[in-house]
Amino acid sequence: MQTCVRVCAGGFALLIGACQAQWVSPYSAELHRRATDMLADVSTWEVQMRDSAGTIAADPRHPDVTAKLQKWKGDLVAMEAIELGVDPGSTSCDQVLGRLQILGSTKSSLPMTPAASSSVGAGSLFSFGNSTHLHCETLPDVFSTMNTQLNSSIPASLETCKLPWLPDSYFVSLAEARASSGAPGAPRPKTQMVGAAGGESLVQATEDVQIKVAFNCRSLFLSEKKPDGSETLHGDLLSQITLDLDSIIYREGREAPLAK
Amino acid sequence: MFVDDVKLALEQGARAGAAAASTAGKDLRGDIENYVIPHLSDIAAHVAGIVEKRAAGIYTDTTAKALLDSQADSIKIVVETVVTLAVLEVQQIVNGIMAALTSVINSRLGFTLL
Repeated sequence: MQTCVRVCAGGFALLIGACQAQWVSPYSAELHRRATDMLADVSTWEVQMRDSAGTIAADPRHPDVTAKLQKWKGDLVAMEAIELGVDPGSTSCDQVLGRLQILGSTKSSLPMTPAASSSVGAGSLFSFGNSTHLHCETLPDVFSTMNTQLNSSIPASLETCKLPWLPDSYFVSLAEARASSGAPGAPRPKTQMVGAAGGESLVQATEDVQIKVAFNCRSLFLSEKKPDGSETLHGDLLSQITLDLDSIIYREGREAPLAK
Repeated sequence: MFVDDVKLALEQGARAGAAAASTAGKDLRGDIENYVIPHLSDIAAHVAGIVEKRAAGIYTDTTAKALLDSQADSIKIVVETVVTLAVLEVQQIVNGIMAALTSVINSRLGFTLL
């Protein structure tokens, strides 16, 4: 059990000893690894989509595309569970920052954990011996924004890659054929319109239409030029989710124990 | 160029926010310059690119709105990362102070009390 000595010196209250402040949730190697793996997967998929833009493989109805988004949703659930397990409390870190007072400038006490910060006051002392530390919630919105990306933003934007001369039924058949036999599926139909069901309105796959669809789809996955002439790492579609993953990796990297 | 205008607007906003947000003696302006501004440069490029592609008819309204909403979320995440770094910095400062005090006390006592 940690022993802590409360010392009042010069108007400040200090908590010293074997106690260590731990406001930010401890390092999680598992979370670090999962975020890194997912970032690599997203980056690889971006290149594949860029190369297959305008083909069936990039159509959001293709089983591979839907499977990829489902996989990432699963990865996100796993990472959220890890984060919750490591960091079950409560207060946002910006609120913690708002309450912290650097020693020497004020007479306020320095809370050891965010949970204790609720009793911050001039000259107040803190007792602890509670081995359960609550941490402030870092990156409180990162998982919700990734959820929004996977459930809403990315699917909506991927409509740009939809081949308007192919009906939904084609892709349903493709998925069923794969599920039943493991075969790659029916060959890609050429320029004629495939019979539609349920009032789907299809477009004739003229060369102009195909070129336009391919160009527009590819635009989602191309880097943007920056003012200094360099390029962004990712295209418009995946820039936000990769930033989210980067932030998690950056945070975990800062907390990672030093190699011995 | 439009991207320059967007980048300038984002940077000025970030610097103004940092000046108003110094907390507990921790000057966040260094983190803003070293972390936030470079990422905002990326975000500015994406915002400008999305708007230009919408104007050119490459993106539909729905796509452009979804992508621009994503960029707004990106700004939020970048700032939250800076907050995380700020808390980590203060945490490290506090732990450094406590380690030094522990050493002084044990040294004065001549034995390891803490």
